[in-house]
Amino acid sequence: MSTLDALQAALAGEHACIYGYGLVGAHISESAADRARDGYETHRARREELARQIRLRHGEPVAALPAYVVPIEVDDNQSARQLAGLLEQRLAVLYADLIDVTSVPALRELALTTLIETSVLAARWTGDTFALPGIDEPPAL
Amino acid sequence: MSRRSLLIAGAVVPLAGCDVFHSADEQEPTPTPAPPHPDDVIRARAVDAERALMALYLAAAAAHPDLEAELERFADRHLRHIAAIESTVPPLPPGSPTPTPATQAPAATDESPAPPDIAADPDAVVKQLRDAEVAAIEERTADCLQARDYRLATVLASIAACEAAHDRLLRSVR
Repeated sequence: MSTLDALQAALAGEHACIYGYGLVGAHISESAADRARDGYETHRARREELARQIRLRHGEPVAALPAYVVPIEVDDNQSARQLAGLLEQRLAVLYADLIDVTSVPALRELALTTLIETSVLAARWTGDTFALPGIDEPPAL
Repeated sequence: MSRRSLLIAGAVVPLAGCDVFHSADEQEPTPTPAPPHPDDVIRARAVDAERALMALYLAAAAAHPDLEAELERFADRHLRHIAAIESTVPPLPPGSPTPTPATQAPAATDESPAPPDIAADPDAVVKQLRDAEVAAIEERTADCLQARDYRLATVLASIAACEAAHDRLLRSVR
């Protein structure tokens, strides 16, 4: 996998998270609504940054899919939290993959920072953490 | 200084670095061990730090039985960090001389350090653990950015991410 491929994969992951957080926001309890909104905005900001990094490398940023298969049925606060946690855990894998392949220090730093952020968010949503976020595979469901 | 000694000095100094007047024996460099690879230094440092964190959690769990089950889960994750760091040691090329585990290369000591002091107040213990995690996040972050090997960098990033999650989760331990 090249750095560009890993950036594209991370971007595709951010697209999926943006879609997923829309669903989370629709079902999350009022007490966590701000956090869901912050998550949504964070993923949108990262989408822009990744697209910029891809264009810098003469790539065409992958587009979002029209719809996504959501791995769990989200119809209440609990399932909304579960989905948000899962989105963050799966996203972590894509940023770990980027560190695995890139020789660009700035991209390693970007991926490191994001891996830390997603793991903290996953811990907040799920109340637990993997020993090795991004390396330990989240459940396929 | 006499003119004569000046002349001698002028004659000798430029030759000092030249091997014309030295026998082969004198030129033989004393064998110095090759410096450890920078990644080995990082691995050894990170393993030592993870061992210390694990020891801190186990001491805290022993001192606070009501937190024991929870804190042991944190200790287990630090134990997995050690294994993950060690899994990044590259295989030795065939025919290499006596292998020494990279994680023992620079400084790792086998002497068990004194058990860490644990506060009696549970809130103070949680603070102590969070401070240790935050310090570890900074160290592993710096190590990640310096690592030569990509896989080592990934493992260190993941460890820092787990420690950031630990810092967050410790808020709700009490």
